[in-house]
Amino acid sequence: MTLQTSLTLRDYIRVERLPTTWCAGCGLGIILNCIVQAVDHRGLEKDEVSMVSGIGCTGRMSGYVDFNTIHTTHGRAPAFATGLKMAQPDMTVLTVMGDGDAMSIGGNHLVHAMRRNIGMVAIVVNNNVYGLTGGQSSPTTPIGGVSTTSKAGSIERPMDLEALARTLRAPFFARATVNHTASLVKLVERAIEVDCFALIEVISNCHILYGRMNGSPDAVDMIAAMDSETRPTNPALERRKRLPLRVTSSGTKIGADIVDSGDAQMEDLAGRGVIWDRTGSDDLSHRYRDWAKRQA
Amino acid sequence: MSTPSFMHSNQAIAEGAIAAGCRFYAGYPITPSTEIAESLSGRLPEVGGVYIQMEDEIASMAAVIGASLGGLKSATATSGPGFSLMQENLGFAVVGEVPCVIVNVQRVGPSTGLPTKVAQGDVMQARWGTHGDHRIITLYPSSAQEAFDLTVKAFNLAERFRTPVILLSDAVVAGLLEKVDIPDPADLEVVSRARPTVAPEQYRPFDYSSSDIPPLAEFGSGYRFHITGLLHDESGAPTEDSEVVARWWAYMQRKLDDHLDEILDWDEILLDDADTAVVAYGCTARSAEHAVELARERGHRVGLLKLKTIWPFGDAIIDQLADRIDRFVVPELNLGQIRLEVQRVVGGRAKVEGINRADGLQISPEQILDVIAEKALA
Repeated sequence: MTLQTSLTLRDYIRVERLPTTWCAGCGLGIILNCIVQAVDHRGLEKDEVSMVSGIGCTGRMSGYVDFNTIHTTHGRAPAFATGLKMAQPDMTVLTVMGDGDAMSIGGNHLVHAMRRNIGMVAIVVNNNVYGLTGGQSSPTTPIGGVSTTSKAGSIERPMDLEALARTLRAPFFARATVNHTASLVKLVERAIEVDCFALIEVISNCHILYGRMNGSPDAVDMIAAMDSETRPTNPALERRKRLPLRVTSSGTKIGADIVDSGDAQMEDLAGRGVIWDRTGSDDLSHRYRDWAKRQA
Repeated sequence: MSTPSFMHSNQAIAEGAIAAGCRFYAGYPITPSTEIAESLSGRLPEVGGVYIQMEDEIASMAAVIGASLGGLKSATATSGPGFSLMQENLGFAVVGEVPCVIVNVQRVGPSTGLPTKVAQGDVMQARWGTHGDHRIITLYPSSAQEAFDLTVKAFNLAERFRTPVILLSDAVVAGLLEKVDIPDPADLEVVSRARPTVAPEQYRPFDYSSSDIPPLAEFGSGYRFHITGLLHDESGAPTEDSEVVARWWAYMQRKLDDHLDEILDWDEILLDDADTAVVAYGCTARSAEHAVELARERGHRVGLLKLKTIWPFGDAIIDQLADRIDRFVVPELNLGQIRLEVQRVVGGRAKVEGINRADGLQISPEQILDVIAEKALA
């Protein structure tokens, strides 16, 4: 990290609230870093940005950033963000959730924020486990994954966020890992730019709990594996070696919708993890407010 | 000057919300509250506001809090089962001190109960529904006019005290079609939350060391702050420091307890010379008022204490009456939720009798009259 970036980051952090509650080596710090870089690159004023988070390790993120921040109840962040966005349609709303937060207890809210196309950057940090409560299985614990509540390995099918987002026609979906920080920054920048429901799944590491129980107790090893064990499914991307990665259970080709668009930015983003980008329509908050203005 | 019109209480609540400055509503359809949502879905856009139907009542309450933090006066309306779902985020609004109004048009419970029948079974849920100790304000109209007036008051109290305010109603009050005088905006007292005037770096959003309620900045106004359901210090930072938490508890109690004169609302009807007081609220107060008239015609010295603020409970009002009243009669469409409060305050100084039913039917004036007359003869 360059000195310049470090100084910039400090401006966005509530330094007095540090250290974070996160374990050493946790991917959440990396993600926090990438998010504020993206906000900085977009040139946004801190007053123009909100971060709304749920409960869990990821939920703590909103406490550390110097934006307008709400640390909501478990799973409800998209619903809080919906109300906030209706009141302030021009605000950039960053909604940050963990996998259990977003896909289990908050599944209904996530689904309907997607369906309505409420303008927010929805970041789901997926580390396959409930961290703050001590390592219980989550909706994304893979079959065979060991947790404190699946000691012989999970027998439940994990949830596929991409498939869900496709079904709900979320206008934007991307995936990154905490090993691919430059890509993650670009993805968040793009998600801010499109001002619609823009969903980013970020694969993160919980080496302390999930890693220890599943044979990978070291943060560096776990993060390294995010590079070596993931791969693009689209040959066009394989060639470019820039990876959004991850074979999904639905077999979706990463970047398939946009990789041959002829648009250099789009193709770059496809190489970085945008799986589809069908943005362009206004988010619902602007439509509601415009309608109200016409009635008034 | 005012404009009289005929409307149902549910519509009067919607009009009261508009008049009070409500500009955001999030809700989920449920009988017998739905007309409030239907009215506001049309009325809010006319005044530049937003109506949104959410995926459930949990989300409705969440969106209301989000919009309130965005600077809009916000409300939701529901009935029993939905009120249960709202308790989680109602607690968040208490801890985060977020102004908002929650209307609960009661029906018979528990669970799905009798969806279209009247009850007053959520009085204690309004008081203690969310987990953890807390203070709450609850108002309860018994006519369409009061539905309008108390809705305005609910918003005013929410904004004044940075707190969720519950407006209870019931299936009978909801269905009343009555004349409502809507005051001219110039004649209506409308309170809006205090905004900070200090420099942003000096702003303490939860400054409970001060003597009054700390101002609330809206998001995007330059006063960036953190709001959390965790117990927090004056800056909003989560804390486990028991001294800070003890300070917070003291503030949360005094912020309502020190201002009961602004919060408590009640009517005393024919109580001056009474030896018997009927204590009632909502639809039951209507039966009680008629019963008092009939009893007076028969020579009984009976009056009515009509509660319009249910919580905080008007201890001082009951306490004063208990020194000169022999009998309290408390008719309720539940199994005695407010009767126990009256008993607590009376403390044995007078008899306290309940008239209770929760079978979906109203308590008639005659039923109350029978109790008044029977005991008077005995």
